[in-house]
Parts: sequence; C-alpha cells; structure tokens
Amino acid sequence: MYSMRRNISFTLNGKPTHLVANDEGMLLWVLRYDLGLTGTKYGCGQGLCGACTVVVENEAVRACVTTLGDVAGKSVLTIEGLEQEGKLHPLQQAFVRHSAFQCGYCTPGMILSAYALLRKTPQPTKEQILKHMEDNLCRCGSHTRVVEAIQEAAQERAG
Amino acid sequence: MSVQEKSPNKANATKTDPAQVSRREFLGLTGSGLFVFFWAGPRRFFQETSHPEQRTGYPEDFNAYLRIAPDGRVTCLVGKIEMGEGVMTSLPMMLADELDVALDSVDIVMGDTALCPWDMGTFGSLSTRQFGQILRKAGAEARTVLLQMAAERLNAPVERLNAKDGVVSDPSTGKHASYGELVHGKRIERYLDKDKVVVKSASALKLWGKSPVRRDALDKVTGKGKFAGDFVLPGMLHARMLRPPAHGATLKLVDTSAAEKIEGVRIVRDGELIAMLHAHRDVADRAMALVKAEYDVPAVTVDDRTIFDHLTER
Repeated sequence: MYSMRRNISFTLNGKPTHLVANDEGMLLWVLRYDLGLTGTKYGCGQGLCGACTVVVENEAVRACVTTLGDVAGKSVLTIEGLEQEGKLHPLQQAFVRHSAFQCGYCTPGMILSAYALLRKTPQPTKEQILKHMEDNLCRCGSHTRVVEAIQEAAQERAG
Repeated sequence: MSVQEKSPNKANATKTDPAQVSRREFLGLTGSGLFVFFWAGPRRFFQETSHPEQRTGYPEDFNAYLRIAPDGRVTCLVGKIEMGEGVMTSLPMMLADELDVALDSVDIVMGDTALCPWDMGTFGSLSTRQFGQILRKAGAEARTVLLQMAAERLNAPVERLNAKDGVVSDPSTGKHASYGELVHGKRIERYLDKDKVVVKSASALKLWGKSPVRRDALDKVTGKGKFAGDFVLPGMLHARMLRPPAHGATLKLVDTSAAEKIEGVRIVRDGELIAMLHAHRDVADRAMALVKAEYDVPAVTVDDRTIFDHLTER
C-alpha cells in the first residue's frame, strides 16, 4: 500500500531540500513534477535506458527506479546543478564541442553517467568508458561522439 | 525544442477567425524589408488534400519565406522542425553562404504553427537535400536583388560590387551600403522561380563543410531544452489504461477499490475502458498495478500452421 507522507530532506544540487512526500515516490517524478527540474528525462521507467540518470553520493543511479526514501539525507546532483558560477562543466563543454548528441533526450543522463565515472576514475581507458556507458542508450546513434567527448573532458582535467 | 523567436502578432493571429484573415495577417507578414517567398516540396500534396477547408488561411503560392529586415537581420520561416538532425544550424549556414552574411545574423523560425507556412513534414532527409537546396536559391535571389539595389544607390555596375558580411561595397570608390540600409523604408517582394536562379559553386562557399557550435547545444547539455513531455499544464493528469490480455477478451470482473485509496487518484470508466489518472505518472502506474481484473479470453483458433489460411479467409 501507499505509505503516509512525511518530511524528507536531502541535498539537491548543493542546496538543502525539504519535501513532505511519500517514501515510495520515485525520484524522477519528484524532480520533474514537484521540483520542476525537467532536465532529468523519462525514458523507459524501468531503469534500462539511462535517460533519467542522476548522481547520488557520486554514484550514477536511475531516478525512475530510485525512491525518494532512497535519497533521504543524501546528496543528489542533476543536470541543472552541473554548471558552476554560470560556467559549463568540462563534460558539458566537451559535449558541445563534439556535438555529442542529436535530439538531446539522452544527453543529461549521458553527461551525469560520465560525471560519476570521472569522479571515481579520473583517467578512464576507452574500454572503461564503454563499459560504464553501456546502459546509457542513444536512439539517434551519437555514442561515438559521446565517448570522444568523455575522453577529451578527462584529458583536460589531467592536463 | 522551442523556437527562437516570438512574434508580437502571434496573439492576434490565433484569436482571429482564420477564414477572415489574409495570409499577410496570418503569418504576421507586415513591416518593411526584402521578402523572398518560395515553395519547398511537392505542391501537389497541399492541393490534393481531401479537406480543402483545412487549408483556410494558408497561403497557396508559397510555404516558406525569408526576410531581410532594416536592421540587417535575416530570418527564414519554414514549417520544418529541428528534431536532432541539426537543421536549425545547418540551414542558416546554407543561407548565410549564399547571401554573404555572417552566420549569427541569420535566424530561423521552424514549425511555429502561428508563424510558419504549411509544410508537408520533416522526414526523409528532405529538410537538407530538398528544402536546403531551395533555400540556397532563395538566398541567391535575395542577394541578386540586394546587389541591384546597391548598384543603383552606389551608382556603380553590379559586376564591380562585392558583398561580404551583409555589406555591399564598391572597391573602386570605397563606397558601401549594408543590406539593412538598402531595404530600409522599403517593401520588396519576390517569388522565387527556382529554375532561373543559380547558386554558388561549392568552392565559393565559406561555411560549407565547417562545424560551428550547434544552436541547440546549450539547451541540450544543460537540460534546459523543453521536449513535449516536459510541459506540464495546470490540472494535467497522466492516464494509465487497463489493457485486456488478448484480442477479443471481455472484462468479467474488476476491482478498483485498492487503487481508489491512493490519494489523488481519479478513475475513469466507460464500459470496459478503464483508466487510472493521477498528476504523477508513477502514481498512476502504481494505481493500475493495484487493479484486479478478470477477463474471459476467447480460445485461440489460429496458430502458426493456420495463420495464412486465416488471413486469406478474411
């Protein structure tokens, strides 16, 4: 059954966020409906496509199968929180330079998946990138450019 | 993705009865400048539509146009849309090359139904290989007109003039005039005869083959771009439909009592058509998962051996 609403707090894009909500509510819809952050996309709703990827405590997770209860007390990063002081994150810049998208629907999830990878593995090999990005699907077929953009963003940080 | 420009005439255009509106009003086609009207695509489809009344208010002699405004900005309006193929960037490149204007002085308004003429659709690479070629011709036509106007104003033969970054100049006298200056206070209309216009040779194109930053890049890497599913209207609910397990199945018994207990769920029932509605899509999903339904499923009479006979009998 559906549980009662309660106070739930977490950190969203660096800011303390408090909601009165159900634990079972999926983070994806809380972000999109309650908080108006539509950069996190609904793709399959079953954690299979990666369009809804957000970063929770430096881990890439699928917001469509992550409940609000799962993130209570934790730190959540969405695409809206990636810019710092009006400046695009190096990954965003690399995606722009490489036109690593077509329709752009999977792009926020792609970038946040890559962000989580680079947090843990700042200098990934191409194989590590491919393995990590395996479950972020792009129906347009921008994968090659996505991998190139991630490689370049990683090199920039090293340089 | 949202279009780049909003028209001040938009409100007027939508609240007026289209049957009473001339095509200029319908498209907000007022003001001065140089206009080039053209057809991109088979006119036949438009003329043969089985519901001529649906065409009311649409122009029948063009379905795209460009305007060079007194401020020097170039705008193309067309019913094609950007859906990832990059045409909101590549079409302005094609136009800028033919017109000899800077790429950032070209705007394109795509698929805004209040502003853009009718278009057959965006598919089959037609935006680039069909519309793109005609757009280049429209740009070439505009450039020809502007050079003629400059020749008169600068009192020089056309052959002596150069056009660059939206400015026509006469190297022998040093005199020059911008496209904006040339069209200021005037209203010039041209209908493109695409068989009579010659576009530049590939070697004369400067932007062709280059990869400038896509115009949709920033919106897409920041998540700011709005897709259709990102729009939330006041009072909007998401619906989940109860689906029968097989073709021809009939609903025998349904129990929605558990779903009804979820806060905010609305149930719509019309015979066997049952839907769970909620402001949150995932709650509508959860409500539907709680619905208990029993169906009478008809015995399957067709299998992989009888399927072809079954189909031919029908």
